[in-house]
Amino acid sequence: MMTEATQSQINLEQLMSEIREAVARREAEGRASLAGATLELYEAMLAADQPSAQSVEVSPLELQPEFVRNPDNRYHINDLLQYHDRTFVWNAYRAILKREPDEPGLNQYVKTLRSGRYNKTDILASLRFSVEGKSNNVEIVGLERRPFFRHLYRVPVLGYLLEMLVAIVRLPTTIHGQRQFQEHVLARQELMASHFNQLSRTAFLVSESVSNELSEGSASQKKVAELQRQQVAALFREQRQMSDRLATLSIETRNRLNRLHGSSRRVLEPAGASQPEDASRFDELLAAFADEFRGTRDEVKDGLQRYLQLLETANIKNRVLDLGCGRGEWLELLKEAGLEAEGVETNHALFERARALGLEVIQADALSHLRSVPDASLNAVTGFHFVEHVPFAILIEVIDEALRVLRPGGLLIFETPNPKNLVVAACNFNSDPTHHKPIFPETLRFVLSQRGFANILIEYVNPAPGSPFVEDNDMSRALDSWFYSGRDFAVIGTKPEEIRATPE
Amino acid sequence: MANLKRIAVVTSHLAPGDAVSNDVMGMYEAFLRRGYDARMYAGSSDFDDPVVHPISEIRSFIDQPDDLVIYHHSIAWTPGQELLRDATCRVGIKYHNITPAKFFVGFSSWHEEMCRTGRDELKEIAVAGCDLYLADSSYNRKELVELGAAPGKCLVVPPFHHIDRLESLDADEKVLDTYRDGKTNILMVSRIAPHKGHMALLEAFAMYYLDYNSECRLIIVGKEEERFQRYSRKMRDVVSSLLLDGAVVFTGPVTDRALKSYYLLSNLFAIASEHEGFCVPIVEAMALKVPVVAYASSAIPDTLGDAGVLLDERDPVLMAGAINRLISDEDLSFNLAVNARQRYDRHFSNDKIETELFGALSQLTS
Repeated sequence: MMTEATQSQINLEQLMSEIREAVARREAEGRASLAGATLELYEAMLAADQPSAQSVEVSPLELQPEFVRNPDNRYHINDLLQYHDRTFVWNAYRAILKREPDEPGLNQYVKTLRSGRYNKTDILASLRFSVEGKSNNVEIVGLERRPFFRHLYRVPVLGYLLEMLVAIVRLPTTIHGQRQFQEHVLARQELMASHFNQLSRTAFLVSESVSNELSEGSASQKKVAELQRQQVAALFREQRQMSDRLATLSIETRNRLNRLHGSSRRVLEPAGASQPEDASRFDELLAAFADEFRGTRDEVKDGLQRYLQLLETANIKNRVLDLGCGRGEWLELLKEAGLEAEGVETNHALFERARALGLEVIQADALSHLRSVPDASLNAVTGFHFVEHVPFAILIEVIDEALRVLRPGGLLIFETPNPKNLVVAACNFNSDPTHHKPIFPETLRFVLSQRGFANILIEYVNPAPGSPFVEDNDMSRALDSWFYSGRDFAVIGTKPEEIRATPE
Repeated sequence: MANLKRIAVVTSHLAPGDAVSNDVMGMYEAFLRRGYDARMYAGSSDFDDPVVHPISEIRSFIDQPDDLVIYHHSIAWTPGQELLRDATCRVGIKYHNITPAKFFVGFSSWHEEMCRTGRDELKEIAVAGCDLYLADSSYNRKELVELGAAPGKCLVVPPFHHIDRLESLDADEKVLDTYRDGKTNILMVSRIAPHKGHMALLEAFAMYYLDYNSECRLIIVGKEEERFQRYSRKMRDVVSSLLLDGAVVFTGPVTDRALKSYYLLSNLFAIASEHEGFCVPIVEAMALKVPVVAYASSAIPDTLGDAGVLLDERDPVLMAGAINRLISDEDLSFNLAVNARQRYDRHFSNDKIETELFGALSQLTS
């Protein structure tokens, strides 16, 4: 059939066994902890509400025989009068109105019966001679005449006499009925007495088992408490996992926002001016410049080794932010050493190069990125050959933001060309068209200290090789220092454990 | 059936939104379409239109041996029994099943008595030698045969339903807007009654919600009855003790338009009912392409067939696992829904049911 052919083939048996396997795997991993504890707790509480399963069974007391309807719609009044209370009304409905009682009707009749206002015969008559009863026309032998007599009872004096007369005439029958009733009641009493005896025997057994249960009760209370503890523990676990997930998400979101910010800027700029193509060509040019002048990746990485040791000594393993990360040599070095770090770079071409290497890098300017980072969330902020590219006022802001985002004890590391080396100051520094101004080592140390960093060190690194000034005299030492001292210097500051109030 | 002219479709009570009433109406309309002189008779009715005649007047309509009475049996009703006993015409039974009284113990003594009596009546009906016994499902048919009805006269004809109407209605936009918020929606449709397995469903949902996906909700569509107050209360206690507050929605009674919306916005239909004679909501889910997960109780396997996931054990862990699989595997979910719709078209559309019904009635003459 066509329809059969179009039906997607799903092997339900295989599907079920896959579901079973997945569930079993999950349970083996112990991952169903919270729901497991919750359901067990729920069941324990339910069990505590319920009577013990070992309570003794008492058979129900059956005082009334089963009612069987007559197919020929004929009953003797006694067929119906033998029932009592609720069962009487239920059966009267079924016999006379040939239907089950509606709920209000049933309740109303049971109520009037119990109040003694109506007797059972009255109720039978009321049902039989109702509109519905008349249309069903069920014959009840012994019920017919009563309504007629009852009307006459209402006639003054005569009614009274008539009622008396009827009573006297009916006396033998009434006495007979009374005797029957007496027998009936006595028989029922017998039944009830033996039922009561059974109950009291049962009560004794139950009281014994209750005292046993009381001692077991405290054990089950303990179990409930233990399960509640487990539930709370599972909730805490769950909450911890969630807050971790949340932290990861917020970093992810921030990165995405920054990327979006970068890309939207790239998209929006063309609308503003006719610069975009020029700007991106500029990026390419500068990236090519870095390739030409900054040295090979390996050379650069060699030069950065010492800072890796610095981080390792400080036991820093993650949350490192590198400002102006360029081609990402430092990020790569950290990644190889197993440290988690993130870089920020404005130059699109450099950013793409770093990203192509699989490094965590964001295209943004350093200051605006720093502003988006939460307080005390980073272990280290670094910037290699970064500060000389930034106007002084911006640099101060960068330092302030770095202080804010570092956790107490976190490190700030800047490396920049050393102007005390005259070759660097007079020549090399000017080779890079994006350089702003050389920064004097003591100036940088002073600024860091003023903005709130502590334990500030200056290190001179990358000395020029092949100094001819090796003699041990003042002139030689001065010349060596002017021309062959470290071509770069590093400033390393620590965010104090207790932050001093920074000067406004 | 050439000599069959007058047909009376009979039941105890007719009310809107009730599955048995929908079947009675559907059957009545099918008879009219095919040119029979048909009428509906009931003990009471909440409808003004079409006309439902009081059961006391049935003898003025049905008086020839060739006439046919179809009595829908779903609860205790003495006039139904009387009708069968006194019938001088042909008699067909439509058996919708009766919930065993044990489910109502401790919740409603009224239902307990009505269902116990209804089951007693069923015993009489099964051996009354009626001309035809129609059952909603194989499960219902099996009960009739076990109670002594002649197997050759017992046939399965699914109940007529209101799904055509549901399909033609516009969905309720407000409901769609409220619950289409990116969360996973799991749906259960049924009145709030003790045999419908709400507790078991809540357990399974708790497992899924706590262990797999807290971005989800369980929507329980159905009327709460005054008589089952204790059950409703217990259900709410369970919701809070399972830490599900806010994740479970009880809609109460809803309009057909809202009902359609609930099906449209749900990712999955889950049911843990302990007793069903047919289960129309499963057919609604199939028609509206919502994949179904269910415990394989009573008539549910007959209705769902291989168009959904049936669980043989009542195990909340397993049901949660099955829910997770369907929610996370969109291809599977989609294909199951497609299969479900095909099953609906093949077996449960009102047209197919009409064909089945007249096929069964042709037995009367053969």
